[in-house]
Amino acid sequence: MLSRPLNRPLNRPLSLALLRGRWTGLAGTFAALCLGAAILTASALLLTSAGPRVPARYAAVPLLVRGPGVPGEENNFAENPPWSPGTTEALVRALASVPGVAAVVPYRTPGPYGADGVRVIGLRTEPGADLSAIRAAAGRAVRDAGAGAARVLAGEDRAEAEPAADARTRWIGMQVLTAMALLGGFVSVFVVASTFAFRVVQRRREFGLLRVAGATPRQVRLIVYGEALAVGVVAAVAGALLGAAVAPAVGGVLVTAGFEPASFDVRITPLPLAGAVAAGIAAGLLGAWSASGRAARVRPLEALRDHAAGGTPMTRLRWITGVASVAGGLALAVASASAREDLRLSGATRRQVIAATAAEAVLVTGIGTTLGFAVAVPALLGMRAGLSQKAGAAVPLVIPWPAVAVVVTACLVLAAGAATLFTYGAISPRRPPFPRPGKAARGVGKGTAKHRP
Amino acid sequence: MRRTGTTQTTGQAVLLDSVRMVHGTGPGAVTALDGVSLGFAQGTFTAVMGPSGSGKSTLLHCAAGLDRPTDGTVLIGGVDLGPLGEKALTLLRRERVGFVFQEHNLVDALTAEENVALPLRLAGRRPGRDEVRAALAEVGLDRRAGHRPAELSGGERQRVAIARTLITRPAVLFADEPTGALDRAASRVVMELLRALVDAHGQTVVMVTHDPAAAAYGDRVVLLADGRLAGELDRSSATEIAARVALLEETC
Ligand SMILES: Nc1ncnc2c1ncn2[C@@H]1O[C@H](COP(=O)(O)OP(=O)(O)O)[C@@H](O)[C@H]1O
Ligand SMILES: [Mg+2]
Repeated sequence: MLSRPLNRPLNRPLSLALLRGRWTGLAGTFAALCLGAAILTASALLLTSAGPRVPARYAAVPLLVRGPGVPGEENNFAENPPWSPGTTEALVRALASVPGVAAVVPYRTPGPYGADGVRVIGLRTEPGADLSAIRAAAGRAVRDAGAGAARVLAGEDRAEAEPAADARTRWIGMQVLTAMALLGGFVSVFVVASTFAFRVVQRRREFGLLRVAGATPRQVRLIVYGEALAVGVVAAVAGALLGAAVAPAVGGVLVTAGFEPASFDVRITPLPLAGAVAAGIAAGLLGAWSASGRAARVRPLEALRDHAAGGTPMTRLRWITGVASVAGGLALAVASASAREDLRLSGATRRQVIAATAAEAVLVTGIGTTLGFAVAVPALLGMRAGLSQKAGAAVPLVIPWPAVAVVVTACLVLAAGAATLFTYGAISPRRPPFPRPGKAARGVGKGTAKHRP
Repeated sequence: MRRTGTTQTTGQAVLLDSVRMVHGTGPGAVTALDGVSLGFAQGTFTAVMGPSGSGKSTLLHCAAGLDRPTDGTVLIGGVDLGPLGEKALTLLRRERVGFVFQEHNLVDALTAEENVALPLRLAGRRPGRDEVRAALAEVGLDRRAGHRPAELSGGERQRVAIARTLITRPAVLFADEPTGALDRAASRVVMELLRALVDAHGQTVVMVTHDPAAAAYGDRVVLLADGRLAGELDRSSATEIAARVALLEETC
């Protein structure tokens, strides 16, 4: 009964050996990293799937001739102006005489404000024809017909001929996804930092013992990092799988919400998955960074002291500040969005809308942070009083500046993301204001529903 | 580096010179050690005694390099600890010093053998199971290798702690009231173990104790009062030691 079979290897990594029976303490870290990695994976998969697509109507047409866009940033998402009927006729005639071209198909598309006309001409080729030779000849024919700025598109390049409304929708989707990925990353790092800070305070005695047994400060630091790495790898892989599983559903939601065009579908590729796993692990290590420094500063004689009470205020403070200010910032950002729509409708200039947006972004961050502090400081003072009473001595007031900095940055990013998103809706010159959920169907339909060759 | 220190300390595993230690600052400051000069010869077993609060633990912490004195010099194996950085000091402790507290010496998450292997692991070695078992066998616990601290008795935990210090073959083993939390029988086992280490391996041992019976295992008893040396006894019986300590406590 006294001896027991030994199946554990003696020389397991210390980080893992020290975790025995304490995995539950890492549940918060695991959940945060898993969720963060899932959000990152989904965003990354959606982002990589969100590139322009060859529109379905051009799928069977190997070559497309497309006119130039109007220069200027505000025209990025405007439909190209159509060719005049005369130019169209000349182009069709010139292209039909190119050897190897079987048929010339002018595509008539509706434009905004009644600017109907031909913007794209498709070329069907004879079977077995040399596509690059035809493309070169078509280019010459376009120049001869006096439409020199037009481009001949082949293969994946034909995606350039997608409807401008789709391009604009994809651009909005890009902002939403980027904001989502950043939010996921920030929240993960933040929660990991909180849970690890708490763990280190709880384990000061243990780290002191390790120092007595001969651990250098650096070794103690590495033990904390090792733990973060262990939980990070497991959580990031689980999160990546979870993210890949939900990405198609999220894609569907984005399409419904008008953040992606109807042609959008999610492709599961290995690179975004690997990237999200790496980012999840990095988030874990980043979160453990400040805690590992604190662990490394534990002195050997702290093995003699009981520190269990010390950590709560820091952790609670972080939680409260973080949740309150992020939530506050987000709520304000969303709430202020409709105000810009009104600005636009009341005839404000672009410059005015942008100025208003910048002011709001500052306000959002400021109010969010103040809100966070307003909730956190009384709570902190109360807890400090309670602790002091329990300990019979004054407990110093600690403000975790790194955490505060992280939260403020997170709010800034969120505010900037929201601002970009809604400003675009407000200043877009040829589009109705950014569609609310109820209006989404009308906004999208205008760009995509009526295409007919 | 004080080169002269090496010659002064021939035969001395540890040497303290005018060591002063003040805990805290301002009006609340406590002078725990007030100019203590003391040597511990290699291969000897010294018991440190004195009233509670007389600075025994502080003396041991300073001598072992676990704490830095406010003033004065500590030499371990002729090396002055003063100028050493945190890492160098840790490496020196890891190689030359073993320390056993009154209790809570072991890492709860690790088994007995993992605890024993810890100093070697931290030194970057991958100790074999035989090596670790041999150290546990020296304290009579090789059959409890896979048990965790919570599954061992207080006396067994102290013996595992001693096995852990032995595995690096330290120049000096410090123990602060190692039997303070043990019953009479368990205390005897631990004291006989320490005595045997001195006799069989020439281990240097410095031990703080309140118990005259434990101090009687030492070659020498050093008495401390109010942070100062208050006398010395050569190897004596428990009764003699008890009488001397009683006298010391009366005069305080
Ligand atoms: N970390 C510390 N901070 C403040 N005072 C301390 C500390 N450690 C010890 N002391 C004080 O120093 C004196 C000596 O303590 P110590 O060395 O533990 O004595 P002993 O071990 O002989 O009982 C005591 O008055 C004690 O209160
Ligand atoms: Mg003591």
